[in-house]
Parts: sequence; C-alpha cells; structure tokens
Amino acid sequence: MKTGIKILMVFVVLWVSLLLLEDLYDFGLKQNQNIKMASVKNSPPCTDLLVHGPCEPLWMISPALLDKQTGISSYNLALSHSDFADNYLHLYYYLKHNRAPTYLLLYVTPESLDKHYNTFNSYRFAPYLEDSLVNAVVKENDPDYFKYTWIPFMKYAYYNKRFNFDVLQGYKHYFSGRKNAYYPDGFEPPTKRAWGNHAGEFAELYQENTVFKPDSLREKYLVKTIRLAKENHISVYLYESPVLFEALAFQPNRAEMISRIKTIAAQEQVPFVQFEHLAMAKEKKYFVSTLNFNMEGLRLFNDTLSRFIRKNIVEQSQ
Amino acid sequence: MNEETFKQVESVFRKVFKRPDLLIRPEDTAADIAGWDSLTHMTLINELEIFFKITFTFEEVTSFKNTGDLVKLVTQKIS
Amino acid sequence: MAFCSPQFLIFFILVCGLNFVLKNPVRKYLLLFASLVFIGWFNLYTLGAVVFFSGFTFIIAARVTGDKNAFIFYFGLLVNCLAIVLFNYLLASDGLVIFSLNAVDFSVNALLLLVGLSFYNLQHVAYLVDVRRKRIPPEKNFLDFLLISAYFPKFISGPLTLYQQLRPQINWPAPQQINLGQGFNRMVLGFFKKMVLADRLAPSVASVFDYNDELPGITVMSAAILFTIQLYFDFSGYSDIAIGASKMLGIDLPENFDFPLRARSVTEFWRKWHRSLIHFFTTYIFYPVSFRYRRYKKHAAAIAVILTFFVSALWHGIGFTFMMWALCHMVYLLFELYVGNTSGASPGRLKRLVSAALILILVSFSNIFFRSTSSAACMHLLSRLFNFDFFPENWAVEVLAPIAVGGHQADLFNLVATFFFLCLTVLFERKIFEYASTSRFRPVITFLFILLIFVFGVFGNSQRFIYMQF
Repeated sequence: MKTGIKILMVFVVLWVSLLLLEDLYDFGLKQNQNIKMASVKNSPPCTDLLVHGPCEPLWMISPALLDKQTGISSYNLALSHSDFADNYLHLYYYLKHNRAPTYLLLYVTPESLDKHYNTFNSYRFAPYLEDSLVNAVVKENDPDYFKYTWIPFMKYAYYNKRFNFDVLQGYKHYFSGRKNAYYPDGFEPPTKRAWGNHAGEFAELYQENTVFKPDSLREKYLVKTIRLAKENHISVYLYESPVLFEALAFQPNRAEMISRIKTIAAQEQVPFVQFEHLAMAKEKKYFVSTLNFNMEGLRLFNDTLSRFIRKNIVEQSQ
Repeated sequence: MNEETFKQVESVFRKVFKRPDLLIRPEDTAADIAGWDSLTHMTLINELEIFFKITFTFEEVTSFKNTGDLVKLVTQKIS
Repeated sequence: MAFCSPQFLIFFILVCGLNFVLKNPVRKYLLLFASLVFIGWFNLYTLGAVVFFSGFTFIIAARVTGDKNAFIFYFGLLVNCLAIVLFNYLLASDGLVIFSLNAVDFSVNALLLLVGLSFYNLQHVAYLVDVRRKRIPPEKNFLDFLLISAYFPKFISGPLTLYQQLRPQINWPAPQQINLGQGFNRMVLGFFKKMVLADRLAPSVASVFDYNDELPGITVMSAAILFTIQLYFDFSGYSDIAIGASKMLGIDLPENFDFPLRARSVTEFWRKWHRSLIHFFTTYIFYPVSFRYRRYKKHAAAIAVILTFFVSALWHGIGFTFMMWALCHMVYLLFELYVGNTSGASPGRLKRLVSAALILILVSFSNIFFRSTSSAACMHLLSRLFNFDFFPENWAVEVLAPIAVGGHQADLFNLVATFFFLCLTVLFERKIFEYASTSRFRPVITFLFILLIFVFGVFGNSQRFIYMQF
C-alpha cells in the first residue's frame, strides 16, 4: 500500500477519533460541578440576589455573610479574570436554567472597561458552542479561536491546558454522583498571602501613571449584561468596592473612567454605587492588592455591603 | 600503508592524549579516540609536524577523514 | 508563515504534492517559487533583502576565486557580516534605527525573519570563503544559487547549510515513497517536541524569568534547567520539522542535534548542540585561528575558543547578557582544555549520570544570561541564586506554584503531565529518534503522536494570558 494513502488513512481515523474525543470532553465538562456553567444547570441555586463580575466579587463577597444580615438568599456567579462578555454569557446561561433573581449586583471599576485587564475566557464556553448566542459571542470576542472550531476537537485542543484536568474531574463527579460544587454558594475565599504564581506579601497592580484605555467591546457587553438582566425583570446595581487609597494616585485618568461608567449607568437607568470613601480604603492591612481584600478586609466590607443592601435595596423595594 | 610510519603516528597520539596504552586503527576517527576533538586537534597536528619535521597546509589538516588518511598524508609529506 | 500554523500545512501539502509529480528542472523552479512565497508571506521587504544579498554574493563570488580581487572579497564578507550585526542591533534596540531603511517593517513577523537573515548571511559568508579557497567553484546559475540560499525548510531556524551540501541535491530526481514516510515521521516528532514539550514548558520558565519576584535560588535554578530543556526541544523540534519537510521534498539537510542532554562535558555538549552552526564556527573561525597559532599548542586552542564564542555571542544578539553567556562557556571550555581528563576509560553508569547532570547545571547557569530579558533582570535572578535563601520556607508557594504557573490542582496536573512526557521522551530519546528516522511509515505510532499533540500540545496564542490580574 503506498505511503501517501497510508498517511491519508491515518488522518481519516484521526478525524473520527477526534470527533469521539470531543463528545467525551463535552460530556465530562458538563458534569464538572466546580465549573459554574455546569453547576448552575445541574444544581440550580435558589437565589434572590446574584453577585457578578470578575475576581473582586468572586473573592470578596460571601453569600453566607451577606444573607445573615440582608435576610435574602444570594449566589456568587462571579468568575476569575472575566470581562463583561464572559459575565454576559454566564448570566444568560444562568437564566436559561434558573428562576431569575430579584437583584443583580455587578462589579464595575475603571479596569473593567480596559481590555488589558481581565479577558474573555473562550475556553469556558467550548462545551456550549451549539447554542447560537454563545456561538455568536465567542466568535465576536475571540475570532482567532473561533475560526478553528470547525475542526474536530480543536475547540479543546486550542486551550487544552484548561480542559484536561477539568474533564477528568467531571467524570469523577459523574461516577461518584456528586451534585454540589466545592464552593456551593460560588464564593471563593482569598488565599492568605500568595496570588497564583507570583508570591509576595502585597501584590502591586498599577505601575506609575497607569492610563486606562476604554474599549468599545467592553462597554458594549456591559450594556448587554444590564439589558439582559432588565429584560428578565432583575433590578441591576453597579458597584465598585473600595480601592486602596494610595493606589488612586497611580491612575491619572480614573475620573474620566468613572465618568464613563456613570454615563452608562445613567443611560441604562441603573444605580452605580461607589464605596471608595470607606475608611478601610486607607488601611493597607485590609488588602492583598490594590483592589482585593484579605479575609479581615472582606469581613468588614461584607458587613458594610450587607447593611447597604438591606437598607437601600431590600427595604426600598418592599 | 607504511607500518613504521603508522607506529610513529601512534606514538604521537599517545604523547598528545597522555595514554601510553592507546592503540589506533586506520578507520578510527575523532569519535573513536577519547580526547581527540576540535580543542586538541591542532595540538596533535603541531606535534606531528615537530616529530616528522613536516608542515601541513590548512586544507590538509581539515580534510582527512580518519587516522588511515592522516598516516597516508604524513607518509606523502616525508617521502 | 510559522511551521506550526495551518497556512504552512496547506502550503506544504501543495508544494509536496507538486514536487512529487514534477521532474527537473521544473521541480527546481517550483521549490524556488515556493521558497520565495514562504519568505514573502512574512513581508516583501525581507524577500527583497534576500534577493538582494543573494544577487550581491553571487556577483562577488564570480570575481574572487583564488588570489584575485582581495578587496572585493573582503567587501563581500563585510557587507554580509554587517547585515547580521545591523539586524541584531535593530532587534536589541526594539526597532529604533540609526538610519532609515525606508518602510522596513518592525512588526513581530519582520523580526522573525530578521533572525532568519542571520542564518542566511552566514551561509553567504561560508560560500564566499569556500569559493575564495577554491574548495568549490562559483555558481554560474543565479536561480540555482537563489534556491540554495532561500530554500524554505531551513530558512528561519536552520539547519545552517553550506552551499556544497545542497548543490548536488537540487538536481536529484523527485523523492521516493521512502522519503515521504521518513520525512513525515520526522515532522510529526518535530511538532510533538515543539508543541507538547517545549511550549508547555515556556510558561513555567516565563513565570520565573519575566517577573521581578523574590524567589528562592532553587526556583531560579530549576527554571534555568527547564529553559535549557525547553530550548532544546523547541530548537530540535524545529530542526526535525525542517529536516522532515525537506526529506519529503527529496533533499537531505544536515542533522542539528545529537542528544546533547546526555553530554558529559561541555566540549561534548558543543559537539552535540546546534551542530550546523558549530560546524560553521569551527570551520571558518576556530580551526583557522588554532591552525595559525598551533605552535602555542593549548594556548592556540584557548585563543580560538575565546574568539569563536565572542563572535557567536555577537551573532546571537548584541548585549551584555549574550556576552556573559559566551563568557561562561569560554570559562567552561578553557577549564576542560587545561584540566580535562583524556584517559579514555569508560565511566560507570552512575558517573555518566552525575556528569550529565553537572553539565546540564553548568549549561543552564549560562542560559540564565541567555534567557534574561535585560541586564537588570539578569542581575536580579543571579542575586536570588547566590544569596542565603537558596531553599524556600514554603516549597508549595515559592517553588511549586511559580513552576506550575499557579497553585491550583489543574496547574499541578498540567505540570505533572508535562514532566511525564518530558521524562519519557528524554529516557527513550534514542528509540524515538530511531522511529522518526525509520523509512517505514508506522500508522499506529504516528496516530498516537498526533493525538497526543491535539490533547496536550499548545495551540493557542501564547500571549493571550500574559496579563493576569491575579
């Protein structure tokens, strides 16, 4: 048999094998309870208040602490390193499989509008590309990734470092019958000291004279997220948690960015609540980075936030 | 190949690589003789020139492929 | 177009198919056209430079055989050498030119091809010297010369090929089935080494080298060792792809690596690492210098080592870090030259292992300079290596997390997977190489390798996650 034909046969068998492997990965990832796209479908949280956004709400807002003071149930849908398009799709998928909450608390800070901070994590949506909306958003936000997804398994091969462990864990959850996430209320407590792979007592975020550059795609998806919530009769509140006071000096165009956020909030008729004037903002001892609290800081902030929610949101709406 | 010249070349190899028991074969290359590499090659060449009172050209020292060729070259030069 | 891109795969399938059915001289012109398209795909200015330097060298060579026209000969050498220095200077200064070359593109793609031009001009230097010394006659056919110079499989990363290595082959008949199987196996191995081994290690190395973290010395040294391994698999992977692709086209390129991670001395390491470039430096710098001063015996070799590595440092890049890298190897080689043991006794297995480990550490130390992004970064890493905090207080946070690029279970899983494939490949390297060089096409093994590339290889834009908030 000629070598050329043998090579061709290998590719045919490979094509079929990759199609099968793709199905196996689809299934495994949809069973992994630690992935929010899967757990919100498999074990729907019954919630009145949804907390959403990137790392800051994920690591700093505890539903357990909030619920004690607010008297309502909450769930933390936030995801690490996520931008608004990422948040939008998670909200969409959450609403597809759950009762709509009454309130949405969405974190917004000047960084959120700059594409150099956080990102659209296309790998999170790989098992859900059969959904036309997910498909369209992924195509718009990560065209380099999207253009190869027609090749079998390429949607997983492209970011395989993100998937291999999660697939195995998904099958482990499936075979063990596990139905709950490791963090059932969605909140992930911050580590005591080191963030990721860069150890340090305090992680500096901003270099001197950091200038934020607003990105139109970010603004577009912030608006889309707000409107999706409102279409589902959810009251939306944009908020910004305290920023370490001494870091403000390193953001020369912060005022301009805050103004942009306020403009969007006014245009969409949703409140934007800033907590920058809290006393804790001046105390470095509550922070592990310019935007993130440690455990002590988050307890303090959750206390303030829950009183705010009870007084200005829950009681106002009753 | 001249047997005597071969033995004399072998004695130079032994002196340069400090191995009194070294035995070389005509098909040997640098890969077969420990210590014979680019760092020591010209030292070996210089010692052969001194021993046999000959002078090699650059093309000659970079073109022989094994010790057999080297011995032939030396034999040519001394005759 | 990079080797690991869909565009290249499509391009190569077309070229390979046509090459298989065409006969010479049409086949030659196909390869020439394909090479020009390959280079021009990046940018047309580089293509222009390639054609210019080829034409320039072609004309010079016709006039400098023997003792004729010494001035023209040295002028030809100077222009080619200046081109290498100039392009490396432009790289070092991030594209800030001292004079304008009019619309030279300093985008990422252009920089990639400027590295290719370093190889390219070196080949011209070798060609001019060989013509001058009458080792080879000057080429009479410009298109043949252009093909040999610009031949696309070797253009970007080598192997550095001499004119006389390719000249006899361009008129060979079309490749046989045997070439297809061998070449394909080799290419698959190359992609595996690059995408599954080298590219998986890259983030671990970057995590230590590209940030100013206060990491313990053992983390710095571990990252340096990983960088050496990454560099080896990256470079040898590229060479495998180049050699394999060329094999499928019916042309043999020289081998570039000979299992250097098993070297038991630095001298041996340099016999096994980037052999084509070392062969060039040995033939055109080291041997002429050591021959000229051979009456000084070891000292002649010492002078030649210093000069050769100085030139090698300049070729790699202009800067303090490359000079320091070269200085390390000068020290190592001079030590082996003056103190080394030539007893020839075959060492035991344990001694071989210890020697290889020591050489890996020495080479990796020099690679701290090679890899550092700046002199300041380099100094910072060295200060971490040589202070009293060599061992960490917390191994998980200060060693494992940086190397794993995160402290989560998934990060550790990825690290374990990477090390698993690394260990298997290093342990069975010779057997794997035998498979890749075999003439028989083995469908099952090939299928498994390609599947592993899909499941564990790095495909995406590696810069996508460089910025991480936390």
